[in-house]
Amino acid sequence: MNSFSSKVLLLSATLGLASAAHAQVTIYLTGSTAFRSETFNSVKALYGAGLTSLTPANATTSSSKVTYTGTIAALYGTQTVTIKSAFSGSVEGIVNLVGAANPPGVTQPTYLNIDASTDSNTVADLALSDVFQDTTDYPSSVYPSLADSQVGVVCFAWTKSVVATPALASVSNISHQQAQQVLASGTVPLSFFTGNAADTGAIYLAGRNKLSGTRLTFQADCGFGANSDATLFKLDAAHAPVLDTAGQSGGGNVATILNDAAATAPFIGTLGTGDSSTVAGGANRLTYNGVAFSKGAVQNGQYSLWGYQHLFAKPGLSATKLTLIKGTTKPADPIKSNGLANAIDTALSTSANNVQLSTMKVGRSSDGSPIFPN
Amino acid sequence: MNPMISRTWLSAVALAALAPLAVAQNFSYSDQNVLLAIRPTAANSSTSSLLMNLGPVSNFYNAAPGTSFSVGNTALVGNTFSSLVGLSYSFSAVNKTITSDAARPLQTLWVSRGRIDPAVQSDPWLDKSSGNLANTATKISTLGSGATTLPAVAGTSGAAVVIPNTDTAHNVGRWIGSGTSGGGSGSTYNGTFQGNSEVTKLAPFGAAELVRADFYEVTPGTADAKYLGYFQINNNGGSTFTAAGVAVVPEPGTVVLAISGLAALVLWRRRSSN
Repeated sequence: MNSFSSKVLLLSATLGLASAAHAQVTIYLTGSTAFRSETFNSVKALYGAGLTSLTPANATTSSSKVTYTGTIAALYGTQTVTIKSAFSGSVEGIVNLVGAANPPGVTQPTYLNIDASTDSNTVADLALSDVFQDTTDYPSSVYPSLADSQVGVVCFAWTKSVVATPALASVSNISHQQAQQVLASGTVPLSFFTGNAADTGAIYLAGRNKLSGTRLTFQADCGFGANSDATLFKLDAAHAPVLDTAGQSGGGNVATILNDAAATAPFIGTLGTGDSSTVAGGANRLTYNGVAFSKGAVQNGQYSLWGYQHLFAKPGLSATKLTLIKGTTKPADPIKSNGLANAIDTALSTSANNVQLSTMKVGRSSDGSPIFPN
Repeated sequence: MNPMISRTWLSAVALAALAPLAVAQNFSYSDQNVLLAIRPTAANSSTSSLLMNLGPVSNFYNAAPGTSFSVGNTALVGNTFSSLVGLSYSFSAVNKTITSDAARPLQTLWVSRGRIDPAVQSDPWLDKSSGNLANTATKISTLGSGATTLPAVAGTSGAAVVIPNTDTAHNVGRWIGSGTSGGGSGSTYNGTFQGNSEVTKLAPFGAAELVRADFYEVTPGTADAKYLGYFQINNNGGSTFTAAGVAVVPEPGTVVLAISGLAALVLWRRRSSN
């Protein structure tokens, strides 16, 4: 090799290294709102002391849009890593990753730039989901199959509203058969739950839209059909129940309906346990088939309203971005990596509402399917 | 510029501009649209079902008495199925969102019922409680709204979709087929409905066979469902709707007038002959 070629090669290598050293990694994350609290905690933990910027600065575990910037030394060395998260539902995340045309009424979320301006990118890299891809209307038999990393267990609870209707105090349990009827008709007499024929007043159902993994889990578990069209109600400006033809876009919105003490009628709603804990501090959760939610009841198989939390990757995602999930160690079980899957698992160890996979004594093969001992 | 090249370039640019318009659109469905579902039974080897949106159900319940019109895309039936033998047809619609129509409240269903004798109207479905109808309403609505996640058949303006039997999420049989969770044998919509909404063709394309299904409006209540007319499944796989005719019953006043007129005529004739 002559001297000139050597210099060119050296220059190219130097430029390449410099480029790599200064390259930024930007990863777009969307999907489940029910799991946003654990996602917030785990992403922050992954950055650790390397987190230099959080947008908005006052972001909390309930924020639906957060952008994180900094370095994650264990995964990307000194490269600046920006993770932009925007959550609007598990199914929405899957719609995004498989590249499906949006069904009517679906708008993909936008993200936040570091300066809080809008990043109009609408193509996600990763999506968290409360449900399997094949539970949705975008199954792998029709759309591209998504790589699935199960990172935890997400739990749900039927929850009643705080309104001071006397008969509501006697509403304490819902069976899966009652759940099917409430989902179909959206309203039933209170006597349907209290057993007292004199309770002729109506109780209404509030719930999520069809892009929600929460909705699919509730509907799959009681046998109503994950993608069936439920009848839902919400509150109008006069706090009276009116038909909700679309459904609520987030669990926080359902919790708001249940927390409306001025409502003219009682409600029950479908919530993740995180949002459910914001309604009367979790005291208004109903038992399901006679069993109260607790982490132990989920771990041992008595309480069935739960699903796996999935971290899906867009088909053809670059190895650089995949590193975020499985870390640099890339073990078969992503939870044992040094990536986001492990950070989520660690965050779940202190969660009051959701469960670490490794602590489960039971499992299930699909959403709403029988629960078996591991 | 060579005129030939210029024209070619212009054509290319025009085609490129039109290309986005050619992108397949999704199946379109709104509440109170009539769905025609055609699915193969065991006697038909087809591997797909066909779902068509026939438009607002008001076109059917407002149709002038006795009028007939074609519905659906007949050519598409021929393109989708190699034989008519063993194809089951059902027609359905539902109100799950409109609260302003007192005559057709929430959970109102419109459901077909096959005729045993093509010349004789079937027994009407029965109105049921709102809670009862809600379970079937869910199945019908889900069939339509679920299909909106699928690309429609090109050239059908979003009014038809072919669903492979292997597509478990949208499988027509899953939503219309009979179930084991109540409703009895043969009851459709997963056993939630009071009977079978389907009518099945037994003869191949072109063979003479009269197959009809009546169309009823089932509202929350306890009366018989309202008869709207009937669908005829034609020998080419297409369908025709004929609105219910009205039997003219003269009002009592009219009868009295007619008798008076007749009596006057008789009297006048007698006087004339005298």
